[in-house]
Amino acid sequence: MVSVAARDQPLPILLICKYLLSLVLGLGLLLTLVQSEFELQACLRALRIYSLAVVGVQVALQRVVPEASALHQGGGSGEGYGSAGFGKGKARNKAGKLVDFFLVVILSIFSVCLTHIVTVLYGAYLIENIEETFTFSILVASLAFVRPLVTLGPGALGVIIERASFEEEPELQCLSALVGAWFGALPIPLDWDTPWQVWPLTCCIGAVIGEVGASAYLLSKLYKVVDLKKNKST
Amino acid sequence: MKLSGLSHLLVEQIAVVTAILAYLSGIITVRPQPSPVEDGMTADEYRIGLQNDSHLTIDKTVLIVIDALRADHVSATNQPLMPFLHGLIAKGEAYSYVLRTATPTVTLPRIKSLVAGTIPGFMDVIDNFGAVELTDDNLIQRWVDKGRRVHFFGDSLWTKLFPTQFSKQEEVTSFFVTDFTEVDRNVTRNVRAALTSSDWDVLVLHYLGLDHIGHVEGPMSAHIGPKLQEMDKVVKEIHTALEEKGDRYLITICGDHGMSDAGGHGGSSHSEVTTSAVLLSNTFGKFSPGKTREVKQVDLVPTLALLTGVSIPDGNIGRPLTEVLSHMGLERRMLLHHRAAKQLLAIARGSGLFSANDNAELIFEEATRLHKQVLQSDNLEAERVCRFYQECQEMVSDALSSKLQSYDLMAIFASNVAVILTFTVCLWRLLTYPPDVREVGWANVCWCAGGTFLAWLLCCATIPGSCVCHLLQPTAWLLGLTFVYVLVMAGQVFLAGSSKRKQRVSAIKPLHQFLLVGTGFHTLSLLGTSLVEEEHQTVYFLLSSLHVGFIISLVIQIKRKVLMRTHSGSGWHGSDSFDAGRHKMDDDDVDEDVTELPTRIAGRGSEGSTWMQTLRRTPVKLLLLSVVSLSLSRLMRSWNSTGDKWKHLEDLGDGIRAAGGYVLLAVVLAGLVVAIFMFSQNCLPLVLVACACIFGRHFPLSSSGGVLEAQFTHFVIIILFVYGLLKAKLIDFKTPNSKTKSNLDVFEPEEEKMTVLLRYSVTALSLLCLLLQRADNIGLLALVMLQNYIMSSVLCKLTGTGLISSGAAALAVNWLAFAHFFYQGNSNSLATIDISAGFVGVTSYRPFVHGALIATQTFGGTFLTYLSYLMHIISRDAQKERWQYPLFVWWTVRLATVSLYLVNVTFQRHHLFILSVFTPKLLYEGAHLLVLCVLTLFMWSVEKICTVLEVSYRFE
Repeated sequence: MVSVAARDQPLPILLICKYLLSLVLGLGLLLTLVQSEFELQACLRALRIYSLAVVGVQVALQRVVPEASALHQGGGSGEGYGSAGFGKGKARNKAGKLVDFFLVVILSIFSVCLTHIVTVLYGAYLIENIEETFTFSILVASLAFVRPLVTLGPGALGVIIERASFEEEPELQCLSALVGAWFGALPIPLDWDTPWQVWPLTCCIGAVIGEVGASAYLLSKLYKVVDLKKNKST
Repeated sequence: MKLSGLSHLLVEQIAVVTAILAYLSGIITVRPQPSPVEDGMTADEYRIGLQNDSHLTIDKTVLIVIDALRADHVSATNQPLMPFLHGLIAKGEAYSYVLRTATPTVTLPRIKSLVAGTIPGFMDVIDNFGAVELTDDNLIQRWVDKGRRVHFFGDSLWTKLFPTQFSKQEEVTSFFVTDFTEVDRNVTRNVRAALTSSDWDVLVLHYLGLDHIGHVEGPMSAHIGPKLQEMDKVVKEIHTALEEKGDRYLITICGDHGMSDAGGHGGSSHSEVTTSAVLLSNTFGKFSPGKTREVKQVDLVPTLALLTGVSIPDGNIGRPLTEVLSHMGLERRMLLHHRAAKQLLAIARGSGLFSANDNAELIFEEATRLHKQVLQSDNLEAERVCRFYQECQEMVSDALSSKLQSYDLMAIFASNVAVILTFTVCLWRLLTYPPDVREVGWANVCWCAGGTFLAWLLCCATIPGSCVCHLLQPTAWLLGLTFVYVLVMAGQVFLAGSSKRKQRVSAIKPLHQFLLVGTGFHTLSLLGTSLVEEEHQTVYFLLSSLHVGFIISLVIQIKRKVLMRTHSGSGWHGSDSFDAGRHKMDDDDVDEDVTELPTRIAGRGSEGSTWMQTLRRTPVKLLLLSVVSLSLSRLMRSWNSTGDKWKHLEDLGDGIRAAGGYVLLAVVLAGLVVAIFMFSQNCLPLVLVACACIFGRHFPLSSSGGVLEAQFTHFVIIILFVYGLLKAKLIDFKTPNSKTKSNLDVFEPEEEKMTVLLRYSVTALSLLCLLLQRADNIGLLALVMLQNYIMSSVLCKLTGTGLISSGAAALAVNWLAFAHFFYQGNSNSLATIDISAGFVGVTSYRPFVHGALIATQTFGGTFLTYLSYLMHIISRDAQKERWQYPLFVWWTVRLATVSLYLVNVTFQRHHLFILSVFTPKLLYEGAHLLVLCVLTLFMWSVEKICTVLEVSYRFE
């Protein structure tokens, strides 16, 4: 994102707002969880609202500043990723955009299902606790998969693999949320019997902490860039 | 003396095992000798307490031990499982207690606690099979000394502990766990005979049926209720017969240990360590029923001794139950409490627990003084005297039962150091693999032995009194062996230091990193008690993550290839035949599929790809196999829930067992069919026969209940193995005819021999494991074998393409082996060892055979995983360094865990959970270590035999 920020002048302010927003959202969610004393139903509701909010923010930003994503999308479809074959060419027509939109929606739903399946393969119950598991999948998918899809378009996977750097915003957020959720599973077998050790709270909290960490890191990086620019201009 | 490859590893393993033995010999169970306490009471004063007690002496004592009696079996109030007993307790005619036993909750140490009042150390578990005569002072011996005639009917353990004491006995063996009724009927038959005659004073009964039901069907079995009612009826029968006779009697009903919620015992969960005791006598009179108290199991011994009028066994550390003595006169009560307190103080002194002017002794002296005063003048303060005595008893008893073990610190620390040093040597060797073969001169060894001897002299001069310093005890020799080895190896390292090996530093890949960090994390997690109990969760989690890691990296690779193809044609070979850099030879024989790949893609063109072709490409195939393996893992982990916290949850195995009938039949059949398909290339007729027999074992056609079938399966498996030897041309009946042989040799290259031999070994061992499993586990074991196969090939291919190094693959196999250990329902508690596996097809009591079979059942899955991976490597490439490398890796990981664990146990030896969590885990770690040793020994002998034969062929 830094490279983008360097090229587009008005973006840093928007980006700062966005990162600040996700930071505040994440911290707010954690605070809500603590305040509800980890009562399961309330927590699940809060987590679902949070996931929707995160996706909503991303989509809204995408509509406000479509240029931010144009760069990525150009790269994405240019690679010839199979399903992103539509809309190839310099002038993207409306139909192509519509198809892309539907593809993103379908892929998002698919990513939620995939997360659910992987969670079950990791040992979550198949039938019992299905609501909890599904909430967890929605959270992780919206943090880790839906946002890159929205930013980069349907060819997100190809773009990410081709770039193979974890300094860019979508990859960093995706990775940190996944790693956070992964580490969140570690305290489950401990015999402390605390209310937050209940499935899926540890993993959800881990994912949110990962997200907050990523936002903080991106903010600090952005701050440095802005600082540098100021120094240059003076 | 030349040490190379596996022989080196074997020597090292022997050194480590001896060090661990030395460590175990450093943990000593306290067996204090009592040192007499002077109380200044005269014989006259003793007599006062015992006069006019003719209405209190017990004529007939009956001790009924019901194996694995849970506390809630007796105490269930709203729907009593034992109505007669419950009625007596509610009416106030019997005292009921909840007994808290010590760990391990295994029958032999618990019987010792019941008769001797001692708490045997943890290492007595090992003796559970080979019981020898009990030499400690005990109740039975005391009764016999008093001239009581003791009759015994029940578990054969008792007759081994007391070979000469019983004047009449009939034993039943506890080893046919599927027999629920006959064991108990044999006991009850004798009881009826004994009740009609009067040639006994003490009757000891040990009922096994309940324990058997627990082992086979669990505490929720439908058989439990009728069994408890049967026990209740026996008690009622004895009670009525004795009432009719008019003798003064004492009936004690107690369990030796409880039953865990899964049905086994041996661990330390609440339901295992609590059991019930009910005391019932017509001398007690009527009393108001009180609350059921929780007391120690050893408290029963002094109570029984005092009630039956014999002196308390010397080693006893329990204190008498006060309620039971309350019907007696005050003088007598004072005297009995005095005796108990005196005995406890004596044993406390003997154990060096108290200095002369300690609190308990002061209380005792004071109480004795008061006691004498009371005897001379008035009876007013008698209650207070009793209370003083009780207080003294309580202090001593609690202090003694918490101090069970002492530690010979020098032996323990020395063996710790030895193991850690060996680990260092091992790690160094792994980092410079393949190691130089270097001559170890005998002179060198002698020097090192001399050095060890000098060090030993120095140590013993500074810290005398350790068992290390006694040359007649094995500890010194065991440790000496290890240290000589370590010194020799250290010398080697020092010498090799000059010829610096140039280590190629390769970029460590994320997967490799993950495997290394994960193994480290797994090892470190064993320091926490709950993570030890739930170790399977850690392993499952790591394994799933590894699978997901494989899948992600394969997806990335496939995608990247697609991208590269569009950009610049084939960039595949350059990126993928790159190797981890450890083996130069990897470059020469990269997987053929992979080398073929770029041409295939290039020739195919971009449009003409059908999905079948896509599937056939190696990375896609590997991807699919990984997904299948991940799904298999998920299926298997829900088969047997194990551990501690979630063990009670219903799992797939429970479901299959509960459904029974056709479902069970289908699962067994499916498992066997999978096994047949997997081993179809190794002498199919024999495999078919073996599988049919395994099926017959669970669904017997003959009247023998499956024993005959099981025996026949053993026989077939042996035949199969011998056939394998023949196939590999290790045994050759033909006359040496060099012409034909050389002809054959052309067709069969020399590596083939090892592959064939290993393949047949794997088949034979798999069939043996299938035979020993419970019926519902057969399907699981078949899946385990399937996963072994899939993962071995996936890992080999991945190593071939250079995605992971061969060391990382070995680490992955190590996780897989652990997962397979836990999938079978094993855990880090002794309670999950399936004893019934030891008696499959064995009709008589042979401790060694039983032990071997139980070990095979418990560790067979692990062993198979290691072995099938090795087989897979060897079948692809029989280069020595290549297939020996995983063995070295596994050994290093195991050694790291063991050395960490030894240090952990040493420093946490006063931890609350040392006996319930850490020591069993240490035993399991030792067992895993032995599994690796056996594996190494097996591979070593296979290699040696094959090379020897090779040489002899060449000479011909």
